[in-house]
Amino acid sequence: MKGAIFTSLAEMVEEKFDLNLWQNMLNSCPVSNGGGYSSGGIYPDSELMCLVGQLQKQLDVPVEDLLRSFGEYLFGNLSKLHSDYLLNHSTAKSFLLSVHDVIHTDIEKLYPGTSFPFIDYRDGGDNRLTIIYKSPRKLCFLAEGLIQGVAQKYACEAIIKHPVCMHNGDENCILEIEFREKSK
Amino acid sequence: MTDNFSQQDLYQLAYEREKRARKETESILEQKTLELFNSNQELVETNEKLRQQQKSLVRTEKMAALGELSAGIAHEINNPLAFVISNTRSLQDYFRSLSELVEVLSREELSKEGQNALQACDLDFVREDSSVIFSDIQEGLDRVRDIVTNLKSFSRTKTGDRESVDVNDTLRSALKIVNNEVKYHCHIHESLCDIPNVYGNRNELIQVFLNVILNAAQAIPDKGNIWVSTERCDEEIKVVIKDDGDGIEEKHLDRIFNPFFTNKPVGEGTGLGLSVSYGIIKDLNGKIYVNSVLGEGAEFSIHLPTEQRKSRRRIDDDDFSI
Repeated sequence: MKGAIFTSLAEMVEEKFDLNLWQNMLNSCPVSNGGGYSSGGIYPDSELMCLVGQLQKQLDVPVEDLLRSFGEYLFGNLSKLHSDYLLNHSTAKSFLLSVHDVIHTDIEKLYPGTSFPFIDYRDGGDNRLTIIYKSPRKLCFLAEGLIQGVAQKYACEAIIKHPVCMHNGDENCILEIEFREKSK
Repeated sequence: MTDNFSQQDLYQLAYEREKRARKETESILEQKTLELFNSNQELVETNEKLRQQQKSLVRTEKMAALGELSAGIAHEINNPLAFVISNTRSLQDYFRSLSELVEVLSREELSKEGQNALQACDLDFVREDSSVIFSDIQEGLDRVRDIVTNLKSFSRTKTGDRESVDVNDTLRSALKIVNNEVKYHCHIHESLCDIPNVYGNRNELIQVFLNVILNAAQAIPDKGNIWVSTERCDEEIKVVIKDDGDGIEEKHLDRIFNPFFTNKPVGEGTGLGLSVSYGIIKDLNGKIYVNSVLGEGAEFSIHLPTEQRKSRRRIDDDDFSI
């Protein structure tokens, strides 16, 4: 998994909680490079799972909520690093539709061998989009958070329904999204 | 269970972690920079290769077009040339007969009017000058015929009989022929290796080597050297003819095999020698390359498929390049 995800998690924990918590999380997991993550590096998926598990344990919050929050935070960081992708689209829906074919393709070129989730789309009309997500990592709640992050960047709200989920034994996840103007 | 670290310990640990992260980032950066450099090098090399291939392709197409043009010109000139040569011979015979008749008549008793007419036409001068004129015409026609023959050779409208040819032996023959012309100002260095035969026409190959060796000799103004060598390169044989003469200007390298291209003064060369050589080598599925540094000399290398290879496969025409 890309190092940027690990560095974002560290940043989020240090920013929203404290250094002590992050240090404890690192001490409780078998981490690469002594926890000195670099955004350009690639680290085992299991490390992230362990760190998130530790965070959930320390904070005693549902892991789904934790991943959603982290997804939103992660997108904030990624969008700062790669703002050009956002500039190319005028709506959150248009941006999301470009993730698989444009963003993932570019990442593959830059970092050959990176593994991506399978993403497919069903366009539900003007402000609706259905995303079919499938990944052995089963990080669909992180994907929800990322979608919320996208909506936030485009100053709209994303109402996400998750009727089919891999965590319930389904083959893939279905995320039904409705974009709304932000309520004032 | 949560450990509570002192502020100092936490910062110390964070510092060490950041240091490790920085080192890893630097290592990734170094690796990516190297990858980028290598990719760039590869790109530069590919680009250069493409440029050379494009140049070679343009040249091949140009030579093919010139070949067609030459064949057309040769054919168009050949027909009128044939009747001009034939008629000139007839005319010369007629003139000789008339001249003999006048000679006989002039010895006869002529009327006053006849004597005056004979004097007025200055018969002695006419006979003498006509002989020179006929000789000049013949020489001119011979030159035109040679040019047409060379143009045909360049366009390869006619292929000579082929057989197994010993290139070393052919080179020695060519060197014997040019020996008188070059021996006073060129020292010839021979280095002929044991090479397999090629499939071709011995006389045509002698013509190629003569053209290249004479060109080399003519590029040496005073005294100099010509190196002639042969070697085997996989399924090809390579003949290198190198001199330390004046060399060829870079801008001329691309045109050197074009028909009628010459650097020699007017009248001293038709500019067909190398283009004919090009045609012969091309016809044998070979390649001819030229390298030169102005003021240091020139090197022609001729690659020919060995007899065995010839029987195995035919080289694509695009392989032919300078």
